[in-house]
Amino acid sequence: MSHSYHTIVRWFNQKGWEPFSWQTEVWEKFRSGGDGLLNAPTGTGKTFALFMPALMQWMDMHPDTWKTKKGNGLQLLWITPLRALARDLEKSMSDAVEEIGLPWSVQRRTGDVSQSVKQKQKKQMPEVLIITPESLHVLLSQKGYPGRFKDLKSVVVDEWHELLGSKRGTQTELALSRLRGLIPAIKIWGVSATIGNMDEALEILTGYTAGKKDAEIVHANITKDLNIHTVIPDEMENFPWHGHLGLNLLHKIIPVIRKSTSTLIFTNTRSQTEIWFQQLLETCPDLAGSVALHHGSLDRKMRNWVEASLHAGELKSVVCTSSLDLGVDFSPVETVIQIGSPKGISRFIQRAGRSGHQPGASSNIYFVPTHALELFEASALKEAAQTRAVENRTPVLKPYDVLIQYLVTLAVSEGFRPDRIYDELKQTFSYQTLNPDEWNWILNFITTGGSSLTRYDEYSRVDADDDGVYRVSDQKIARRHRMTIGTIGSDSMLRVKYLKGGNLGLVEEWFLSRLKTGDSFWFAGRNLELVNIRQMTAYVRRAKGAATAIPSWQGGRMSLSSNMSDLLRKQIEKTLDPEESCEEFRALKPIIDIQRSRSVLPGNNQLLVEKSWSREGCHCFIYPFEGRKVHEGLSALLAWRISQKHAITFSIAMNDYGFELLSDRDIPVDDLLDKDLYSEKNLLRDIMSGLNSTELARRRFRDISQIAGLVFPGFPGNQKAGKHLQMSSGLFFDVFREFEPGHLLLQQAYDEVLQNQLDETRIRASLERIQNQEIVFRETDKFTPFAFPIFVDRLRQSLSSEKLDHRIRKIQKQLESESR
Amino acid sequence: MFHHELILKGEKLLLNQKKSIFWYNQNMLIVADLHLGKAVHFRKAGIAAPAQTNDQTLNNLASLIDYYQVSSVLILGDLFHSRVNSDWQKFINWKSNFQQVNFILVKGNHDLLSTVDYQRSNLRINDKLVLNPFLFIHDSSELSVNDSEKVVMSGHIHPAVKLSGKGRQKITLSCFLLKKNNLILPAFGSFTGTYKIPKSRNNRIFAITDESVIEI
Repeated sequence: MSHSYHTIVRWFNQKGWEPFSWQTEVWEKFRSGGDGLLNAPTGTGKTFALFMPALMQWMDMHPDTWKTKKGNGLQLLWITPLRALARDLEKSMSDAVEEIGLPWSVQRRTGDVSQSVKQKQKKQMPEVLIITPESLHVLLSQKGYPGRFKDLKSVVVDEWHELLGSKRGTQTELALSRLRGLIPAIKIWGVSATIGNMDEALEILTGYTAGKKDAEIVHANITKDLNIHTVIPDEMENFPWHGHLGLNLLHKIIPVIRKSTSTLIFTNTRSQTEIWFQQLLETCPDLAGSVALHHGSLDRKMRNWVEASLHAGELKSVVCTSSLDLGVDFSPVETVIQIGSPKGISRFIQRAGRSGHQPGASSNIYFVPTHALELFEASALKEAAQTRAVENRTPVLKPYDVLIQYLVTLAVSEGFRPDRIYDELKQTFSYQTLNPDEWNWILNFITTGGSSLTRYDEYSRVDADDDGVYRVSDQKIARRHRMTIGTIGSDSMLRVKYLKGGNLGLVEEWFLSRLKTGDSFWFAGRNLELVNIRQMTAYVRRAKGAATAIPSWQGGRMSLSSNMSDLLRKQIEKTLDPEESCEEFRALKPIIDIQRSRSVLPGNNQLLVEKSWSREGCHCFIYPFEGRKVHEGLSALLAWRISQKHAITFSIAMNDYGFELLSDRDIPVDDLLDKDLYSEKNLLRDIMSGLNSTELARRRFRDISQIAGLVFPGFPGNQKAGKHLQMSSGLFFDVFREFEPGHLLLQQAYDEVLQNQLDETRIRASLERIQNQEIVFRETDKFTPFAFPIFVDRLRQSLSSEKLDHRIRKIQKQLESESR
Repeated sequence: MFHHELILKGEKLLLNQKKSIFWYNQNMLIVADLHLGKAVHFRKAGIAAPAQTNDQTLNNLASLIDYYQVSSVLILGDLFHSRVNSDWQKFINWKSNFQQVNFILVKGNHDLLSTVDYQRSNLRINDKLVLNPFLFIHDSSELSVNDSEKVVMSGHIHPAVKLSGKGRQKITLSCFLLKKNNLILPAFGSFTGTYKIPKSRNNRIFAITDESVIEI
């Protein structure tokens, strides 16, 4: 073993640690030259698995001088998806190099790092730079960037699974392709939690360089014990059949919170977080001060405080959203509580894994169902945790908007030669299928502004110079471009601020616009009074009395993952088997009995169709158990196809289990039982006709136009400047549709509707499954437990909440009394 | 052409679905907010807006002039979006097809071309204009109290109305807005955004669809 190896192991021993075998395996593989991917969960020592070999490599190269050599230029680039993680990494890496006696500098460069630090980095790069994908692209947009990377030996992409399925992942791929182009010998490693497509994740990370070194996956194989507890309602008779808040089980989790040192409570939405926090304090006033809340709309400072306090063990409990799925290691967390369906297995396991970081401890998670049928999901999750059947992360393919942004980024800094960049792009996973037509269209778009113009035009953005290098020469365009780098679109949000100063966070404009001055609302765990709104800021003061409104943030409701819906179907079938018994099934028994007495409980090879009448008309409920998203597409497809045969109008509602077609006239059942209705033939045409596809595409175009630089959000702090260049994405969408129907960005918007919004692949898979299923039809006098939540969901859109609650309670009472 | 007839102070105004008003007794066409040159302005800044929008705006205006055979066209401001660019010459060339028509511009906040450029265009230019019983101005919020006697016609805000139907259907339509004694025209230009006006009992709203003008 080498000198460097011993130095590192000695440091480990000083800390009282022993390197894990998978850590030393990574060290070996890293140093022997290959790229790779480490499969390890958060908080297990993955950082040192990849940080140490970079140090060792340096020591091996400079065996006599490594203790003294300073100012060595950038050696290791560490890409992380979250700014919050960067701070933590910076600290633990800095401490390590200092204790080892290596005079390296570890710095971060993220959106929240001051300009003066960034300027210093320009003169002297630290040896280790921790960066987000966006900030890396900002770096690529600056003159002289190749010089900054000239000493770079290796790149580590942390939490790769988080980036993978998003445009930020594509952004990372592009940056890596450029770095590989600059430094062919560069070593690229990733770290990922377990996902369904690990091999693909490695391929995407390392690209398709010809004659590339071998790349491989190292599995840490850490399976921490995972204890899943379902919170079973005391009386199923009074437990609701629908709902999403879950507050009626609050009393059952208070003892759990009290007995754990620290508890994370995960909810699915930001408004649910606010409501739970409020209710928790109302029920247990003694917890005030030791519970906090955390979600993506709160001010960064407040979130940092919560994270730091949690880390230090000063908080008894934090109510949060997916905002704490990732992030720093919260060792004191002993227990995790999940309110309502997590919709996916990975998310559930990831959240559970936030607890039990003390040595030898296991993870504890309590699942709190918000309505009766979620007990099926509870038992499905327990099974999933055994088999670890986690979901895939599907990469985004060929997003033109991200590519356009990237090319302008390169044109702004050093300029680019199209041939060379095209070669680099073809080696990425995302753009491997980019064809010369698309490439020329994109080059044309950034140089001449579009295909349609032949005459003299004043368009300028990127121009080819005499040497064939594409550059941006206009400084204003360059400045505006740097400011818009980033792929995460932002809605129109208003900052919420105390009159006396102090930021609280962001709330969507439409919510605040409904409030009048003097109205109070609940936000950031406080009751606030709106004082006035000026320049995109809502000024507030503390309010007395009860809050009237809680903001809700838009953002689609999550849908069941395909693995999750698969398991769910199997669980439902299992309940048919009297041999199968678990606490969830026992609790579900009364509901299953009602379902079976009014209709049937469908097996995995059956598609249940229920029909019933109410004063509103004829209801048909169909249960593919495929998740809300797939049901949105399926229901539109079926409704469209039936309406082509008969003149009929439907109102459609859906949840994760099934969907409802409602009409004021009789829905012809023969149609619903005809397998042709579920045929894949003309699928796209029929879905697109059934849905308002133009409207859906227009919505997707909002992000696309911003990423591609058509829509300019204005300069920070000065929305007015540049206002003469502001135009809504919707208008761009309309004029392109009219004048340039072949516009690739329009095409992208429609593609995204199919892929992301409707999940065409899953719709096809589910139609295929239906083709092999037996369609079971039942006419029911009363709504079944499966039908009721869907029926109720539809009501939400047409009645006010108060009346709605009343009405739902009434109907449910009726249903229950009838079933007795 | 669809017409919604509106009588104000005894004058017959025809509101049409092409976002303009025909003033019957004056044989005059009234439009607001053309924002010519806007696409080129964007393009010069590296934002690839389709430049054909400009031609479309001018073509639309030409067909209205032909249809009504008007003797004058009154433009209620924001004729040209930016500093001078190639689209200004295009406008001048286009205008020469209508020698018999008298063009009047009431200047808007975007109309900042130099005197020389305006002179080349042969437009009659005013900051505001009174043709009884109406007062014409670009932005009616700049009026003083004394002017409030008259019925004011203006542009500037690009009014639109948001209609929601069952099943969460939403649609935004450009509209004419009559607010007390102020009639506000929709933006005529093909490359202009809209501003959704809040609902109010004092407003009469005339929404514009592809085929007609409907009072809501």
